[in-house]
Amino acid sequence: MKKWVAYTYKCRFMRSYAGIYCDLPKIPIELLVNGKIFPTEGVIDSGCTRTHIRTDVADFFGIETSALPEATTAGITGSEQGRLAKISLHVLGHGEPFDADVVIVKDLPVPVLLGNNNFFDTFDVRFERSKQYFYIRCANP
Amino acid sequence: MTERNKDFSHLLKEEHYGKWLAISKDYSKILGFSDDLKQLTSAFEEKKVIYTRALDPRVVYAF
Repeated sequence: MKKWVAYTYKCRFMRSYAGIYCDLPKIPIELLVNGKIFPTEGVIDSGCTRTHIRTDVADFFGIETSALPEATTAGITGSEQGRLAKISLHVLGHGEPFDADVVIVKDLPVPVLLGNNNFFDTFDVRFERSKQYFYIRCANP
Repeated sequence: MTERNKDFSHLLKEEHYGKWLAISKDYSKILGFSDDLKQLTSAFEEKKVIYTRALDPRVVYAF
């Protein structure tokens, strides 16, 4: 089994927040489509059933979304009609890129949400928010 | 302990919140920011930057 790799939650004091604000668990990743690379960060979200990317990231790759199958994404504030696509996802420092099924949606505050299908199929994740650390490792030996 | 993510949150200002950012590869500088990702990707080479988004700490996020 691969070793756990540690990442930190980024926390800072904010007067406007009236206390300590900690960012979401983000890791450096690259998305790849047809030889183009988009270096970015993904938020690990165990409450998300599938990995999501923003429409403007799909536009960067020139993905013609209107030709893709539809998928409805339901969140706490409502639902949005997205499009299903397959892209290559590279988690930096964790081996080779792998194919990921993603939903492309417009209203996403982050570039990428790493969801159960198929980030959590590929990686084990340990959250230790109280210690300001989280850990990931490849699930496959 | 090896840390695989770097912190640039001390560079964030209110003007960045809710926008796309182009960050230097070593996370030491915010090279640019925009509502429009296309504007950033046309201004900076992918090899030299990381594109990400600045969350607004005043907002509660529940995806």
